[in-house]
Amino acid sequence: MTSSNHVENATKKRILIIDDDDGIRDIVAISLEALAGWEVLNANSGPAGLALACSAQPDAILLDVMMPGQDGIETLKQLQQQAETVDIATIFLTAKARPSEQQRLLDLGCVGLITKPFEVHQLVPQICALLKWPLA
Amino acid sequence: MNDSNQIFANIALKIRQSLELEDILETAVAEVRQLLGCDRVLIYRFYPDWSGVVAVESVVRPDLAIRSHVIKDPCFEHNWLMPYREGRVQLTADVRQAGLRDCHVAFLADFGVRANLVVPILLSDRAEPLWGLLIAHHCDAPRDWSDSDAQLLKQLSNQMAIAIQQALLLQRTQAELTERRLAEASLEESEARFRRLAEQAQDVIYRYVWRPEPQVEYINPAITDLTGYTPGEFYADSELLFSLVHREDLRQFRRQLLPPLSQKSDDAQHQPPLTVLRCVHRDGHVIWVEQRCTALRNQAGELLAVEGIVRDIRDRMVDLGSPERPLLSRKESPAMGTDSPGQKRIGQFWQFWKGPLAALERSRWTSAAIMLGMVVVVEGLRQAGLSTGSQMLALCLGLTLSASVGGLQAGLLSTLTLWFYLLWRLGQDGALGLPNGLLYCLLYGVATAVVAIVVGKTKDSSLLADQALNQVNATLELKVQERTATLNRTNHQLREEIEERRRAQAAHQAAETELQQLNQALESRVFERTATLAASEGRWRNVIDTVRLLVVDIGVDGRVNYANPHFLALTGYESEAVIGCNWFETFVPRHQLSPTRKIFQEFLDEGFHSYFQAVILKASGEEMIVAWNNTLLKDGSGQLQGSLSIGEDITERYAVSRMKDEFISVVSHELRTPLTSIHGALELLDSDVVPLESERGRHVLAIAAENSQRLVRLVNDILQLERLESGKINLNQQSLFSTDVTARAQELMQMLLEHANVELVLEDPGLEIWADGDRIIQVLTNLIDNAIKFSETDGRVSLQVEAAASPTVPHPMVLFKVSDQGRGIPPDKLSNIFERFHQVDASDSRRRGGTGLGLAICRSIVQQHGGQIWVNSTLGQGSHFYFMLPSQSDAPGGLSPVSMSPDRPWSQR
Repeated sequence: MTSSNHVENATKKRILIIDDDDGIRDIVAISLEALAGWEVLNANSGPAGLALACSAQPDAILLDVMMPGQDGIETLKQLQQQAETVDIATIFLTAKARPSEQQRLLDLGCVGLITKPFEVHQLVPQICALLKWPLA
Repeated sequence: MNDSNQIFANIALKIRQSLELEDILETAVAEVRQLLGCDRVLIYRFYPDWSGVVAVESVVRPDLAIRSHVIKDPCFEHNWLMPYREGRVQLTADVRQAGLRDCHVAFLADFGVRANLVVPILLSDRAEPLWGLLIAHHCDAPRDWSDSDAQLLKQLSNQMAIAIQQALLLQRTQAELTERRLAEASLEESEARFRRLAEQAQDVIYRYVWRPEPQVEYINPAITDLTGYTPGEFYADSELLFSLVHREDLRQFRRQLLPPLSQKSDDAQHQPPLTVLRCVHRDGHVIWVEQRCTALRNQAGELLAVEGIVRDIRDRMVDLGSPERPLLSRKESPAMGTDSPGQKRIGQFWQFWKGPLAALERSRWTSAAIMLGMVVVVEGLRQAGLSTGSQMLALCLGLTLSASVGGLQAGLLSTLTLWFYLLWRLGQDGALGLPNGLLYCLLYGVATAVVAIVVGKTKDSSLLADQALNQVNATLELKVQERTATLNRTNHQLREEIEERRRAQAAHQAAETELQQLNQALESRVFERTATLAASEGRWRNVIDTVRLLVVDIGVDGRVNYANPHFLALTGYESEAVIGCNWFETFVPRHQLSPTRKIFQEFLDEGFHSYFQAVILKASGEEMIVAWNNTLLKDGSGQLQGSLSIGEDITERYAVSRMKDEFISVVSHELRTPLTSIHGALELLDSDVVPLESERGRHVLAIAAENSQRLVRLVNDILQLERLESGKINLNQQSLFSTDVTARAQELMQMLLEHANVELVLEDPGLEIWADGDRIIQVLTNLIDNAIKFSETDGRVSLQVEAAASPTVPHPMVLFKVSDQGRGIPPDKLSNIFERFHQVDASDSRRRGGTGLGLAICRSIVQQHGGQIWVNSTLGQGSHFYFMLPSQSDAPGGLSPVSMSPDRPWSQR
């Protein structure tokens, strides 16, 4: 996909999405590539995401919370424990809607939350705002 | 009837729960109006002139209010009350039709009365028993009062009468209590006045009581001036008073201090005698005092105490010159001999007056002695040959001496005697020149005259002395009378004070007696109330003992004072182990100790945390979650006693609530996930970010379609499960052959089996079952679908049916078994595999189009058939799902199985 109509970045950002749902992974990837021109990597489980984060060193990670096996919370803990991934900003992608649940997630040390279902056109501005990236 | 009895009992109880007249009446009218459902109920209270006032009322709406109306209508003559005095009840269904006098109808119309029911309130303890009327009015329409209405009102009026009597009695008691307090105050004031008077008096005032112990009850400070002893010393030593009295006066003093023990009251009115006594000062000198004692007796005349007033009369004794009169009895001759200054003065005084007084007393002998002395002197002079002139001179000297020494009487007597002697001697000497016969006759005459004169003069002189003495005496008496009058006045004043005090005491006693009676009446009421309270307490205790709530009474020190049986049953403790134990140490988990103590303290101090949830420990160590409702416990004086806590075991509810939260969270996630894909995909297509015609566009559309199907399945499953679990789906159970359902399931799964390249092996002998065919096919397809999902390509799934027996069901059962050769289920997942959204691996399930609710639906259907479902699994080898169905109906005479026609429209899953 070519660069976006909305955002022009001096450097091309690399985003890793970790979600067990194929549909969501695809939708997020298409949206970020099409609207921001970012490179999107994806993984369908926590362990796969961890490995990819180490190797590909993305600028940010979008991490689903409810995943079978190793869930998003456990995955974030491991990201924070690994020297290679500790500095990578992580945003939770969650279907949890209750404020108490959201606060619990924020307390874990992620930079922010994006709740499902999200507006695809708001996805890039939301990520930029959370990561303090300039929005052209 | 029981209801009306109950209502009556309630009202009666409410009436009797107050002693305030106003409260009683207010309560009564409100309750009665509510009970009868009439428009107005009032209490009309009579004044002494038989007019009256609407004392209290209860009305259905404000415009009917006639409270405080004073009613004095000439229409009501005195005799209209007669029926009420006799306790009769007046019922009028319609005042316009009752044949009342015109003025009466007009009167009732003024107050908007259409129907009325009038019951007298009669106080049985009065001469005029009619106190008032209890009246029920119906204003808007006529009303047919029933007999039970009248009866009820009559009973209530009786109850009210009793309550009114009690309230009036209380009012009287209170008034009397006030009076009593006033009497006490006046008594105290009088007592204080008396005491002030006594404390400042110059005279010694004392009170000696004989009962119960003889002792000085009071003596004023003047005693210190008189005797040198302080009042305190008299209080400490009851014998001191007696030891002060001169031993010779002691008997008299004792007689005064202990008058007859019993005396008629008339005698007691006599003025008590005044006596003079000696008492001995602390330093040993004797003091003359006068004392008047008054005996105090009770109504029976029994001696209670003696009050004495003692006055120092030393000065008076000096003024009067003699201690013998008039205050001293003659017998009480003062015995001197001590060397105190006062005594010395009195001794000198006495020596000075001793001679003349003795001469006065014994003048005859004195005169005789002087006369003889003079005769001897004159004879001596004559013998010595001295002249008649010398003899006359000696005679004059003797005369002077006699007069000066012997006084008037002695002088006179001596003079006459000497003249007689002189005449006789001169006659002898012949100096007079008279013959002896004549001389002797003259001498005889003179002697006779002298004897007569002497005897007469002696009498006269004695009379003179007596007169002089009488004069002195009179002066003395006058002085004494003056003093006595003063003393009497003081005494009188004191007696009045004492009398006043006695009267106040009598009034006090009378009031006390009456109060005691009232007290007894009140006590009996209290006893009655206590019995009622005890019954009520018993009822409450019974309630608390049987209520299915935890009830504990925790003292301010944290000790448990009470725990009800339900608490003991739930916590598994014996009562003995709980009562007196420390709540926090026994029931609060260690990690909760500090916050729980803080909460308890804040509750006691501030009243916070009336409601709160807490975990408590059972005897077994298990935790129980309790929702507490706390009330501060205070005693009668408002002193904080602790907390009465009533709690409910919400452990299960809490768990259910948490499960529900989790379920909602999962459902929320399961719904949001496909929705996110659908929404995102459509947005991308709609905004042309991804062109619909492109390959990516078609992919995005496929994502949307797939997820919308998933959403539909999920919603259907959730709804179906909800309907199954809430019993909203009625099973259409009938007798079938197992082959009917297995064949159909196989048919429905055929396409999926082929797609997955999995073989289904069916072994079904065709057994009779009692089931809803559609639902069982749904169970089978669900299980086969799962088996296919977890089977490898070229795998095999089997469905077997066989006869079985259940230990819990008397008749034969049919066992269905669905097996696969898949990866198996981990043992820790087996226990809740049939729970909602408890798939072994959600992503697997989702990838294969599952919703996570299939097994929960299966379990629900099987259980509704009266069957069971379970699973066996070995990791890496495969799983076996079993379910068992009844072969026939529980109902007797079950129908024969119906063979299902092939074209039967089985519903799709």
